[in-house]
Amino acid sequence: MHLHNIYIGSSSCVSIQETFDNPQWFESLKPLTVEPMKVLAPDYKKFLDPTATRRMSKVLKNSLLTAKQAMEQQGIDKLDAVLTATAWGCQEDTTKFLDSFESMGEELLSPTSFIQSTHNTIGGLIAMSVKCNGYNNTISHDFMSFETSLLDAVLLIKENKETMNCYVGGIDELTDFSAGIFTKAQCFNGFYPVAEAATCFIVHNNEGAKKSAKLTHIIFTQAIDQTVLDLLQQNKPDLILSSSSLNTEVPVFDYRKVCGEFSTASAFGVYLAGELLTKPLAKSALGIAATTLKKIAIINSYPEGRCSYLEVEAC
Amino acid sequence: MTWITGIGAVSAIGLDVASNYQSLLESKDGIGYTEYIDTYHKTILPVGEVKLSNEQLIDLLALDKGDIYSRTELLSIKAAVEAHAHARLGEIKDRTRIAFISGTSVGGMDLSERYYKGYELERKRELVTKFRKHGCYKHTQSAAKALNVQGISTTISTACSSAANAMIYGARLIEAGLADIVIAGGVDPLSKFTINGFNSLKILDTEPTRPFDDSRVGLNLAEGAGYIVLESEQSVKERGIQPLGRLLGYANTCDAYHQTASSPEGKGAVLAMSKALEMAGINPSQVDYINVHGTGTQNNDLSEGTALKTVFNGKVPSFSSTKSYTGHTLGASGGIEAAYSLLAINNGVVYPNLRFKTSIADLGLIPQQQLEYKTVNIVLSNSFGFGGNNTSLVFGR
Repeated sequence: MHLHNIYIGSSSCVSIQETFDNPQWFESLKPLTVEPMKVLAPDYKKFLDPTATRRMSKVLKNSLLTAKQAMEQQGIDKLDAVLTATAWGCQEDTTKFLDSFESMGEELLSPTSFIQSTHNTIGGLIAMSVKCNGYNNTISHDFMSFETSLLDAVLLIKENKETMNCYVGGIDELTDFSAGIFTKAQCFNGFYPVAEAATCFIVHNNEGAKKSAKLTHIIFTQAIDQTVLDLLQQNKPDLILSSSSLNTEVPVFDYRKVCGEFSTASAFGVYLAGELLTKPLAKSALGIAATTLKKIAIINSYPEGRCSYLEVEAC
Repeated sequence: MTWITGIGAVSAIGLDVASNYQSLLESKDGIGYTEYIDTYHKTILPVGEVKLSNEQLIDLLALDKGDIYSRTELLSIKAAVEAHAHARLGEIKDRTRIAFISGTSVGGMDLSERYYKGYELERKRELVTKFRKHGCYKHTQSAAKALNVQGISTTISTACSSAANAMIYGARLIEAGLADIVIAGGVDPLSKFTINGFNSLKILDTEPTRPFDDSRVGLNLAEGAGYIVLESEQSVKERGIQPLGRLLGYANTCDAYHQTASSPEGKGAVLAMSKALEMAGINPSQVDYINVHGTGTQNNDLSEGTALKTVFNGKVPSFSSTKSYTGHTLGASGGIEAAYSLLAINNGVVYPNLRFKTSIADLGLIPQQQLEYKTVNIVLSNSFGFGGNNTSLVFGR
């Protein structure tokens, strides 16, 4: 679908890089290890009320934190919609609750970890923290969680026709338990360490508001097929962000080299695209060969998971 | 305009739409003790269990017996196959124009809770299968594959409103021209995880649930799957298929009050119902029947009842909670209840709310008490969930 008037505004990201609260994070890139990599935890006390977040898992804190910061940078104190994408949800609380009835039996259990285990806890908490009564959706669809959530935002904005600020977040959490399974089960390609992140954007249709990129295409196909190749031929992006090998003259950069491997990594891909379009120094710091950077395609394709094609342009 | 051309359902009161409908007509509930879940609560907490084992479901669906399936996958495939056949989707040549959108709250939890402890000992192949199947998306992928549906596919997880939100997503895909046909709905299996989770919240009844009754103490956890087939007007015309109704309006809002409790005034619920009716262009007075969320908990029924009185300005039309038959099927409930809503429209019937005796003191609302045949043109269906996720759908003839 070719889009008009849909913008990616401010973003915020907690990842294995120093992306949070550091605009020049790419100047000090952390090398990837072979071992699973967890996010660099921000100083939560500095940003969140310690009493209110005392019983929250890391993923909930990171989600709240990034939502808050993206809103601040966008200069808004209200959201019209909260759209959350998470492939594996709140792993820490899920395992904690499983462990609690396995070890303590099925009586007198505390509900906290159960309450915080559901995928929509994240979106519910964000809505509560900013008092957003608007549209609230959570998508959990493996490698396509983030893209189908972004499509949700696009369709919502198209339907409403008014100016809207939507929170769109791609969030996945790595625990010691899930790291063990991901590694042993080789859930990913194996080129990069399994990792985690909370990345979010304010997606809007307000021409006059802050924009880091214009979202021009969002397309789903069965695989990297002729439709995708034709789009590349026609639109001639300056750079492709993808893990797939593509037969094209356009330079291809794999964002997983920077953020590691997890199911909603494509959210980091979109984040990186925004950084590249707005910060001239990012390109050389990341060793990207493209000469000009005005248009970037983000292609996400997995054998069982189908393929998404996103395209963003500089504003 | 989005039409509905097929429905499929499996629940504690029936393995297909026809048997679900028969139970509704006969006021027959499916609440009883679990046959298949090894839990401490198996003789304490009654549940709404689908009356087939996994092995029987695998046989019935003619699936490969050598594979490992989550109950989520099996129930989803069962109901989706029925909806697919009902809408005669087998005749559609271009499979990329059919989308599949499904909702679930716990995905393949029934497998995870059995296997997660011993993963260090598992062989890689089994581990991959079992763990992947924990993912919410896996049943969506399996059902789409079983039906050879190749359009956009995704999975919604907003607790008890998951299936209803899947329908909104599907309607928007059709509206935007991204699909001609969407199979949308949801599924959830019973699991030790959810039984203990809801029990730790102290909102499970040890008796069959009494929604909207003053003496209600909680819900009965249940399982099932329900799907409807959404179709564009053009596709309906081209295929010459007789539609079952239309999805006239929908709204998804957030209560933004508490992670597990609804606000006393039912703010999110009021917003969801009124916005959905507004989108449908329907006055509250035109609504013939409301299939309420009606879980049977103290909190939900009081909050939803208050919201109903607000939206309908005190004149609440005929309403009932069919969770008094099926139990609360969580992420599947919006799908199963959409099927019941369409049956109400097509058969001109409203179902009694089982086990109601005394109205909630603060509300004075009396749900439908007898099976009643009448013209049903407009049905409002509510699905409210944890996290404050409130969704209302308006179905029309």
